[in-house]
Amino acid sequence: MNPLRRLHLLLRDVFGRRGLDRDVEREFAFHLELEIEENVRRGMSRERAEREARRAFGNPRRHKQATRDTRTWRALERTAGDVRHAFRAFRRHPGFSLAAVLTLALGLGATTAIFSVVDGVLLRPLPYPEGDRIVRVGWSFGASGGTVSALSPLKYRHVAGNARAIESLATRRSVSFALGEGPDAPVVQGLRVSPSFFRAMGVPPARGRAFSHEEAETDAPVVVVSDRVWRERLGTDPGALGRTIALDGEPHTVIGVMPEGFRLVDLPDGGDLFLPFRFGPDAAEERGNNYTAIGRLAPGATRETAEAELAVLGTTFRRAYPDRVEDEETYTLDGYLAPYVSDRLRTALWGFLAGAGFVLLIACLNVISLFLARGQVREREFSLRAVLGAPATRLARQMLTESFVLAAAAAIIGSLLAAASLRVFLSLVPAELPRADTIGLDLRVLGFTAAVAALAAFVAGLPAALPAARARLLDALAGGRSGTQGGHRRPLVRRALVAGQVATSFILLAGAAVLFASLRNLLTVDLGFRPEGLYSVELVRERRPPAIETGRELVDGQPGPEGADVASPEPPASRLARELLPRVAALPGVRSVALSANAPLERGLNVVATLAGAGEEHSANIELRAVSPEYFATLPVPLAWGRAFEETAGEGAEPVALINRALANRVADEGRGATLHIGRFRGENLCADCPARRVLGVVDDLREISPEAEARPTAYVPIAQVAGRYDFYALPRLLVRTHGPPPSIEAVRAAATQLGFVSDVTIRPATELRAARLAVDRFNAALVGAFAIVAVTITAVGLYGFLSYMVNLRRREAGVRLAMGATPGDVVRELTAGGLGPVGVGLAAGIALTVPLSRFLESQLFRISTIDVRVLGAAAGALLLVAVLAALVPARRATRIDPAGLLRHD
Amino acid sequence: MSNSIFLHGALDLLILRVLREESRHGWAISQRIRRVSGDALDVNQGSLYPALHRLERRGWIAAEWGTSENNRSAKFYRLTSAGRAQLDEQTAGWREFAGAVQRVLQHA
Repeated sequence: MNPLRRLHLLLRDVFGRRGLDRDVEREFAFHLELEIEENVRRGMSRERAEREARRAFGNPRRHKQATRDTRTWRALERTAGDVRHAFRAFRRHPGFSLAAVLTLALGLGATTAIFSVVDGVLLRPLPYPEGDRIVRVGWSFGASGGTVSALSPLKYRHVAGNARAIESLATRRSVSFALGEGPDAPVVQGLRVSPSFFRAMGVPPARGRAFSHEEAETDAPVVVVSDRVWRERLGTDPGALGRTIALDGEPHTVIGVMPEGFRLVDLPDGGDLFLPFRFGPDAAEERGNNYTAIGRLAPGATRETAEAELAVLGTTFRRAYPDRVEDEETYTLDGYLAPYVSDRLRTALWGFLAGAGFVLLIACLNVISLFLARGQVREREFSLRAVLGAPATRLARQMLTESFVLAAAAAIIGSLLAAASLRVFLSLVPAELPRADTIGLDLRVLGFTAAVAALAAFVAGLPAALPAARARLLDALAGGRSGTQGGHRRPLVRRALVAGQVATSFILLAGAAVLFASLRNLLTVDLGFRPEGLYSVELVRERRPPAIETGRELVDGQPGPEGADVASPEPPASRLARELLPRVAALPGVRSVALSANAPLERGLNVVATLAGAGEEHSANIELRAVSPEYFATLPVPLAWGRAFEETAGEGAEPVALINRALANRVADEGRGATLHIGRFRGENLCADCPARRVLGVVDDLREISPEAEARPTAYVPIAQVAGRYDFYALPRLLVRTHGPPPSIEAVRAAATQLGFVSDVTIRPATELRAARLAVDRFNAALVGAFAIVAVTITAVGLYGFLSYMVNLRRREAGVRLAMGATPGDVVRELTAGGLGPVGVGLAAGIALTVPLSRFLESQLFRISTIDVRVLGAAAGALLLVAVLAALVPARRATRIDPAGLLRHD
Repeated sequence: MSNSIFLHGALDLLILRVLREESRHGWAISQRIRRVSGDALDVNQGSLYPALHRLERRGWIAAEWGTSENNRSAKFYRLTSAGRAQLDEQTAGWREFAGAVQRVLQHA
């Protein structure tokens, strides 16, 4: 057919519908007339001729319908008709429709919200060209030792020089600079990166160029700036390339500008300046795996080939340095974001999606149940339509259309619910969640919602549509026997639905209960020190360009503040200890103050060390904490034996250390008489001037990193003795123990700023640090708890609906029994018990299913078994209570049945 | 009645064939089929119309309002060239099919 004609037909179908119908009617009329005339000619009476003509023609409505069905737009038209019909049906049953839409909306809302998080964090591709080919190389210490997503300089060079499957290996290190001149110059975050960094990310500067290897090797004063800096600081000046800007007062030439929108998804604030990175001259001796290694899979290489190659390189490295590396250690390969998405978080997120899916499932079961209940009521309507010539498939399609319309409404409401709840949700999200700022409802997520809604519509509508498709509906019209025989098949289905809902709710409820119990354990676990009344004071260093360096002269004639990159005559820690500590200690309410490189519940520094005592040596990776002598009294930490170091343990004094039990237990006699040699490993001194330290004593193990983690082997060294060595220690924390309320932030700030080298302070209670450590646990518990509440609510609605229906079914029986003298209490009890049957079955199924499902929870739990009898019992009890309440209401209604009225009704 | 299952599949073919010589309106088509078949193919007359509309939509026949022999306005259907080709094709197909059925009935 030629396109013009097709278009003509289409337009006629759409706009000439009525005309076409009229034409068909005229055709029919003409046909009948001729037929009648023909019959009369054959000798029939007029009356008989008409009757015969009609009989021979058949049902004109049906033929007309069939004629219409041949039209192009007919399919759409029919759907529109179905939708109109669906809306009419909903208006006739507003309660039903509202319940169904809201239940589905809750399920879809939960699924949408969680999917947006899963999508944003796990699924969405990285915003870099072929972002899935960006990899990180790390190091595995074997099965027991864990992995780090970073390399030592030696390993980095080994991989960079030898791996063929990975190209453009680059490292990076966060830096910050005062940008521009003058005291108000803003501090901007940036990175020192290898020249290959831009190739590894796949994003070259949009203007200008990246720096060269020569520039990196000579530490040339060049900088690539972000689009933001270019706009806000350089005024989008096209001539900005080649201009000189001051970074911490040093002139740097701008050689490139990154494209608009380029950001580092793992360092949201970190990508405004890019400067050349080079390893220091002693890098080869650095043993710590502290350098990020980002690269790109070479063309033709896959993850697998790269992993295979790294395994080979791992062996080469082990052979080259057998004394440094254990047998099972090797390189690891990860995706770009892998270090930020722990297995635990990944499992949790997928678990949440599964949980939301369960909620949706319960909602679907509810809608199925509601549809079936209404189907009973509508059997007459359907029978009538079947008799009037509606084909069976037509009725089934009608049911499905209704369920799709419901689901569409629910999807809209659910998306709104998700949008609203997402805000609450994101405020709970653990800080470690990468790309949390990109989470939101976009077309991708809404597309997912639409797909899930369609699936839900199908699942919810099909059980009602299938019987509707069966022609036996005629039965209902014939006998009106819906109350007797016809009713028995479906209560079984509905009982199963209720049982399914109860089982699913139970799984969610039990999961939530276990997670809450685990959270409570984490909040009450003995850390070894009391977080209450302990405060961590963070000192924010003032970044000042050398232009105003004269400020240094003002402070007691001592050398003043320094940038991190400049060697300081006196480490800031010493000055803090000497000048700030006494002032803070003198504040009202303060019991003691200590300096510590890291607050408790923050990680310390990971170093290698050898503990030597009584003729044996033990080398290990340990946690190093640099603290002032007051640390042990401030936390306080009990000493197993020995004493804390003294205030005079400064740079010139005898090198000393305290160790914890976890470390002390590795040598004889709890480490008495032992020495600790940091930087020494298996007989090799990796640090030329690190002294052996006399172990002064042993402290109790603390859960100092996280409430979840057992104490790692830890050494405490006087901060004054190591302050100059690690620039990590540039500005330590002040740990303040008070008699209760936090120290006055104004007073601390005044004391600190008066010293002239901090610009601000923030005070965080240790309880808050603990809470931050438990963010994932809190998030888990809150989320699954919310799911469980929604699930139980939906189940209660379903149960209520089911029992109302059962009561209706047994009205007559209840009425007769009441008439025969049964007390209302008897009837209520019996009906309730009848309704609770499926609840019992559901609970049993739920408990049975919880056992295999619980292993998914194991990684999320602390000191509680996934199958804790008390917890499961509590969940079952709560569910049962809700069930009884949901059952009582309709059961009591049964007792108000008027037997006389019932009899009259028949 | 028992013919109706065969008729359903053949109705399109019969309509095309009846329209080969001249254009006709609906009643005339049904009349012609009845006559020639000796009333063996007693179509449920109304079901002719969905078929006519379907064939028109496929472009095998074209419809036009005109004046009938007794001066009343009627919708006349005529075969298009595409319809003619279709008729030849379907006729051949039908013969082959009917022959095959016949052979099975005789020899199976």
